[in-house]
Amino acid sequence: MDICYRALLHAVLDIAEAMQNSGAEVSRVEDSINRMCAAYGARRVNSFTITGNMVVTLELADGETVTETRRLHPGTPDFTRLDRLNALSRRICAGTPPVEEIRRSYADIAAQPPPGRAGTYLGGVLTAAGFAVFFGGGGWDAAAAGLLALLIETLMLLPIRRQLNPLFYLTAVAFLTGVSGIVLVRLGLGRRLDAILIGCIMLTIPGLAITNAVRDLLSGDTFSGLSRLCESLLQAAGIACGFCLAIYLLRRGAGA
Amino acid sequence: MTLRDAVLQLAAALVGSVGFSILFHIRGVKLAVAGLGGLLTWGSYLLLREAVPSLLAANLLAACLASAYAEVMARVLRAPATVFVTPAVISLVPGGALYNAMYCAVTGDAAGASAYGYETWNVAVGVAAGIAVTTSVCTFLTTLRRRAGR
Repeated sequence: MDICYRALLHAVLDIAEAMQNSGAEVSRVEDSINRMCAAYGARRVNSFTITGNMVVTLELADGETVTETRRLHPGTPDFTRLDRLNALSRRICAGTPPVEEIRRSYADIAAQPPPGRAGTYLGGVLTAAGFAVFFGGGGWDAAAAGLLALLIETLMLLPIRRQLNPLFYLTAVAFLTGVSGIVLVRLGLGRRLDAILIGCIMLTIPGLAITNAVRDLLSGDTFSGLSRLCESLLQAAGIACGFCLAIYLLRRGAGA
Repeated sequence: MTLRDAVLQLAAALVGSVGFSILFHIRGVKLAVAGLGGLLTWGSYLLLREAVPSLLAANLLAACLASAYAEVMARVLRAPATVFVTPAVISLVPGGALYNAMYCAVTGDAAGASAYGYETWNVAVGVAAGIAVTTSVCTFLTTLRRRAGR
């Protein structure tokens, strides 16, 4: 079998990078890299992935080594894409198709549209409204939480978000949401500020990152787990601070 | 809690989990399965809360069941388990306790802030430990199966 391992590694890392960005845990990403490369006869696969970086060196049968490094930037979670990439990685391990074919299959998956605006808004509204009721709110509280979810998702979709400090941005979003929630209640839409704002907290809290952090820590990927955990706890604290500040400044209006 | 409240809360948990799953771009049958996971988790938590006096233990067991459901469904539908774990455990996330702790802290109620803060911590640790237990058991079982297959 005559394979260009450099091209193979590049194609494999395309898949691995996309997996991690779609919301996979590090252990799954590393495991996929190891299996895919081993399936093509690499003598040893040295892969190391942490949340922001990916380094893989293949040791080949003839003693050559091939290395590639990627800097990873967090993407939007997309489980449909993750699912497809995972299936592709299984197919590659089972059938070891030519590198060209891997590239084509990956390009097909990459060309699939990401979650659209409509989906993001719908998901956000359902989450916030659902949890507003879950935490004791009524119909109007759910409506208010849904409106706030529209605000949150609009702010999260703004392109300027990428240029600002993520922690600061989340805190600011939480603050604006808190202020708007208090104003809505004052205007008479919704009665229970707590239920409305808890619905919004459930929407903004980095649930996936925390779940993955726990799974990473457990599977021995301590660095990734700790950095993700640290990052998401800081984000949760930032969100809490944003809401706190809103309530603190407008406390009388909140009917405390 | 009356039966009516419980049913309403279960329905809300379902809507919330489905919303969360849509945000993560889960579609089709998997969306239904992921949403159902949220409902089942909260249902089992409500039952466990009656039987288990400790808040931490009840959350731990409920998160255990939630991720067991996710791992099983992941194998049935041939998808990564992460896809189903997050929507299933979302209803256990202590958003309410966190909010109350914040509110008490801001309004100067130190005792309340500490009590709710403790509750938040207990629930969070319980949920994390619950996911951890199931994940570890599943990884162990997979390793055993792979060894046996070789």
